[in-house]
Amino acid sequence: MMTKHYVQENDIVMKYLRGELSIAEQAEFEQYYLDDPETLDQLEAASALQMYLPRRKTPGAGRRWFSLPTMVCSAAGLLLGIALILPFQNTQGPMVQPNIRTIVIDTNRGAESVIRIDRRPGEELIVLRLPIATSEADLTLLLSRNGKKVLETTGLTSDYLGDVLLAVPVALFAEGPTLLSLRRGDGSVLTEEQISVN
Amino acid sequence: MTRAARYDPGSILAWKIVEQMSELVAQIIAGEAAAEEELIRRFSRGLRFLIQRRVRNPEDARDISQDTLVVVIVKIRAGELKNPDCLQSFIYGVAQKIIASHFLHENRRRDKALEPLPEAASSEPGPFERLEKTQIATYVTQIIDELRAERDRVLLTRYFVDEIDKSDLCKELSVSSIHFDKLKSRAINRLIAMVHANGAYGHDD
Repeated sequence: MMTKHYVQENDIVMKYLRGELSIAEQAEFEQYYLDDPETLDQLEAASALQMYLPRRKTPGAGRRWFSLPTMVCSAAGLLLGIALILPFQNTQGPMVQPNIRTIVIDTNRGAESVIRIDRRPGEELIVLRLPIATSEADLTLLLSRNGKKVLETTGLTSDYLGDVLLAVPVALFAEGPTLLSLRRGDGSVLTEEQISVN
Repeated sequence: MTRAARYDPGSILAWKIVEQMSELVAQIIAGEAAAEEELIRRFSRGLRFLIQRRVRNPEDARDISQDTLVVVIVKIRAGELKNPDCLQSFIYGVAQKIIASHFLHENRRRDKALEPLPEAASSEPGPFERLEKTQIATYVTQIIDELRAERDRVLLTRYFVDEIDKSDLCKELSVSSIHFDKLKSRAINRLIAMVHANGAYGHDD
């Protein structure tokens, strides 16, 4: 049960802003603060501090996150001019994705949102379209599940239609609903989605 | 989760809030415009914050928030809210659906069908929304400049900007959890106080 004491003791405000709450906790907290001006004050103040505190070069900053290089694919066959950015588990640097084969269209979220492809035998990728309706660069994608980070990848760019297209391994979503958060370099959240793959 | 569940179920406050919600719902069903405005006043700020975390810009957040409240009011009037104690989760559910439809561009088709909200109530900004972003940024800078110890400045930066966990940070910088909590609360509460003091009239120099 979410109480004022629980929120304070467990640092729920910051965990929420960082996208570290489980999906159930997030839903509970959002209902909690809907009619609570005091918590909204806390959220807005913490959010402002996140956004406007001066950046400093601090030792070890960011080391808590494992950062994976991204792969930017020129996917002319997929959509005109859309950049396809593909995070990998290895550190071999960007690779070009030459052939993308569409095998299934996931109709749960609509054909325009999710397309299943496989990149090589046995490895299945999922393409996510994140509409942000603006031209943005140097974006960061965070995937988290039950408050734990699954993936962080940086350097993403939206295309000329204002969409960010991502190809990520289906396996990342295999363990249950996953919260996807797309942020600017200053930490502000552009969009968040809860992703489940059937 | 209902508002009542946030407190000790036996507390007087919890029951008062439940009673308030039930009364509000009953008044909306009875067609009282003041009750609708009260509902909008209570929930619009929270809705805007929630929705803005999902969508791109404040204008969209405002539109979706208004759409949500219109749909909620229409549904309450129609008796679709069976349990007034669940008003908050009901509003949350409606908001989730409208956000989803926004991303599918369905809400634009529905715009014409929605009736307008009372303007004064629906457009009332929260204290942080009244101020320019640059002004808030100035306050944040002022707060950090007021800290005497460099260690405290580093603590706040590492916590808010670098997103280092509190426990890791306390260990790393050899500070107690109590010191950290005090520092964090002081920064947040100071910013809230500055914004409330200067944002009340929608302008600050």
